[in-house]
Amino acid sequence: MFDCALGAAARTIPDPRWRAEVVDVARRSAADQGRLGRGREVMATAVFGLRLRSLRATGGRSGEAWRQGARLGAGLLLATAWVGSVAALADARPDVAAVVTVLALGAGWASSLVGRPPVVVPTTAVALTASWAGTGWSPVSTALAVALGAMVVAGGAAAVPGGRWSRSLAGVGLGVLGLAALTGPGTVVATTTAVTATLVVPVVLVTLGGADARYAAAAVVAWAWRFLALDPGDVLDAGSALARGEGIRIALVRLVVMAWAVALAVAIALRTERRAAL
Amino acid sequence: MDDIGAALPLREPTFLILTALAAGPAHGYGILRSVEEMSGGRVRLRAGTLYGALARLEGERYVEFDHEESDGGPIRRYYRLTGPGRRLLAAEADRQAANVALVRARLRPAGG
Repeated sequence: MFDCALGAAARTIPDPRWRAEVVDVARRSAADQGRLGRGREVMATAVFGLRLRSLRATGGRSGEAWRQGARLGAGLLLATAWVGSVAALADARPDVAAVVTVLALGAGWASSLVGRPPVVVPTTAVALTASWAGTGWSPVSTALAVALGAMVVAGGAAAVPGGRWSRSLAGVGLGVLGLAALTGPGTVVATTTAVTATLVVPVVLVTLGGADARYAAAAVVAWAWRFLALDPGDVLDAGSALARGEGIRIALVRLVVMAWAVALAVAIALRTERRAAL
Repeated sequence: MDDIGAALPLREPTFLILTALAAGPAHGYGILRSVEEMSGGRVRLRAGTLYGALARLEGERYVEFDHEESDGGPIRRYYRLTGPGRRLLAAEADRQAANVALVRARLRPAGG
């Protein structure tokens, strides 16, 4: 069991030279330890692998982890927007704006998946313009706005991590989700995707962010959307209700929770960057 | 690497790893055991933590590969301190010694 878990954790180490050595030392070190100590050896091995990967990908350059994380977070938001816009197309009488939004997002994803990511920024801008014109302040338009902002700040398009296999898998996943949103209960699929991509996945990302700041930075982008997607009217109403002594409304609770989540993800990303120092 | 002052203060695990290597080249498991012994069992590094520190120290040129050995099992790589690594460790030792001297000087009148 321990050997199996250690082997799996060691697979995160990108350099075979380090991998064999760490596994050997971890095995010898764990020989006189209990279950908890062995678990810590496995955890430390995985953390080392993630840190080494991060160091390789960012070259240890300050700010690079934030740029790469922002692009990953933008990818999550574009996936959410893609499914949401397809669901909207299926659920309501399609108008020109909705069709343009779906086509622009589809073109952006297709170009990204075939290895032409620079096209994603202009297609997202087109999708944002169309979505805003059609629905105004909506979950899809705010997701697109945050994704576009993240890509502009990061100086690069949304990225699917990994190589050709990862891109192929992402392509199949987006296709299946799009098809499910189009032919099945669109709202359910869109809501499930939004919750998964911007609540469940970021929790995993923040956890991994303790070892690799890029993941925490991606969670910052995803949660920033949840924060900004709150309807300003609802928030103002909730604030007024609180001032009148009518109690705390859910919009205000969501605002505080999402602000706290963004701050937490930022703090973890900064802490992980600092821990990369001696 | 030239800016040793900026690397100070060292965290305790880093300080103990460099101290373990100050006596001569050592392999990963040997460093773990040295750190544990030097700290009286207080600091027990995990393999992943040790190699994370070694990777950073190697990247900063404070530590470098020395040689490798194999007694029929897995290959053991030995690491050694570089010149800048020795200077870094000496600077940290001076910093700690200055702090200790300061505390002792302040405690002396109160302690009689």
